[in-house]
Amino acid sequence: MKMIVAMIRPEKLQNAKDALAEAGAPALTITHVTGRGAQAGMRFTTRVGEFCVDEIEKIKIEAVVPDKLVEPCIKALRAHVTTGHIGDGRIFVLPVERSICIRTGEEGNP
Amino acid sequence: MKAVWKLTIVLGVLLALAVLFAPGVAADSAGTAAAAVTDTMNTVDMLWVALACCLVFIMAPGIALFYGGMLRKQSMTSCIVQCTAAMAVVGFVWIAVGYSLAFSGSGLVVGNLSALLLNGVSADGSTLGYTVPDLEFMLFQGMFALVTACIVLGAVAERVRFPAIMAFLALWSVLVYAPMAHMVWGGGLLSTAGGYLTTLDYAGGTVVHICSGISGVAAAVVLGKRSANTQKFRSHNVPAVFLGATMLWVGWIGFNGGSGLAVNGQLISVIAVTLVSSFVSTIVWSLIQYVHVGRIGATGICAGMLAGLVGITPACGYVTVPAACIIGAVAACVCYGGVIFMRQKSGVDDALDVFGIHGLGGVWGAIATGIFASQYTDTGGLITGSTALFCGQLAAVGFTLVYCFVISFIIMKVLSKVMRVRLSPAEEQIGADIVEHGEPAYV
Repeated sequence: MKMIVAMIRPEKLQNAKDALAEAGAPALTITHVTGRGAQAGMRFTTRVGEFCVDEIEKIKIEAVVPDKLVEPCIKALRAHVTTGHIGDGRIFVLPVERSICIRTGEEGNP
Repeated sequence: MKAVWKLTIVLGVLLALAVLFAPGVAADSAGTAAAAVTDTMNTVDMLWVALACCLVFIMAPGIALFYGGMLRKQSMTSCIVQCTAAMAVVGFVWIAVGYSLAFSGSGLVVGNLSALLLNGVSADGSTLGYTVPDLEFMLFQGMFALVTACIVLGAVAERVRFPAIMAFLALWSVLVYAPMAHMVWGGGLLSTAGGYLTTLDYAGGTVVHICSGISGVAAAVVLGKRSANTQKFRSHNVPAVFLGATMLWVGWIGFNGGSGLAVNGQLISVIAVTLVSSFVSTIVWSLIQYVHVGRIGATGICAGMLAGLVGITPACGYVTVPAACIIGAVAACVCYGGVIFMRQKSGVDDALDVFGIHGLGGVWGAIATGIFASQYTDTGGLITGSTALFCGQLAAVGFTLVYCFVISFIIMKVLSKVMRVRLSPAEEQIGADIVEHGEPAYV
């Protein structure tokens, strides 16, 4: 059981939701976040000089999936949220120890 | 950047020269103008027009909230800055040049330059035959110029650069708005007084709404679409949209009501039909939206209200309450269809439905005037059995659409050659609030 954490472009949220549903993992949590990537922000120029915007809007998606769905989810996400430009985001995969359904107490399936 | 400075200097020198020579020009026309001065001013009329000025003035910041709320949250500051600056720039240009071009002299397209910087515009008497002084008339007309300019901003939102849109509006208010005001209200080509057409435009269906709608489209065509990641049809702040719409709704009482420049029975009729039309259009828009998408939203219901107000604007002085109901109902249908068309079929990125609501609503309003005009006028519409007004209105609409589109297109095209007029995709993504103004609306 793994948690997929994807940092994506805000405008690609619907594509990401569709992609994960297609891959068989419809359950997810969405957070609006800001941050910077490996480029440490974006640089712009005004009349008096350069400035850097390093709090760029992103969306963080967290989805807990069975091990066998990790690769299909990553593949589907990459296929649907890529624009080919810097700033498309990253996907992290984290181990998950336990998963419990609050209503039934059932344990195991994510 | 150098080209921009050169352009600014050239314009500044031209303006300075014009001001220097203005007294000479004025002296030539003083003989005719002085003869026509009436100084039977009516205090009640003056008070009402001053109040109407306030009501129309506050529509401009209302537009900032209304439009800003409909954009992404990264564009709210930009919308506020653009509206405020447009009020200042267009307001000054109106006082410096625009009023003179619009309301002095009797040319076909523009007047003359005899009232540059309000030279000879009296605070005590009227040369135009009103019971309010020329200076107050100038202020009231100036408010219309401001509001019209702010409406144009909606079509180019989220991708135009701030310096570019300010340069555009400064030139536009001289080359498009002032001539339109002159042609329709100053005795030019599109007015009955001009002698070519029989037309009626009580409060600016052609001058304000068709003009702003089609000028916005022209500018949007030159600029191109927003990049796909910016183009979202979802309001980021519905309360701001509502607050702005309310300011417009209340302001419209002054906008339409003030246009008669007098307190009399016609004024009360104007206020009544204005409100009736907006009530009906709000209901009809809501019903259409309910049938079409199953739910009624705040942004939609505000747009429906605006559609009725735009539709009744040119007709409000001349129609009865039942006619106003029909005008409001049809305005809702036309504008709903227009918004859908502009978003899905037209290929033009009219960011905030400026053409869908103001352009097409204004066209319908002008045509409706030609159909329903029946009171407080010598030239009735189709329902009084006369076709002259209807034909005149159609001609005026056609001319306005072509004139405003062509001139606005040329202004924006020329500006795009001398300066960078739009944001790059990366700048659009971060948003003009931070990139251009360094001040996010929400932290």
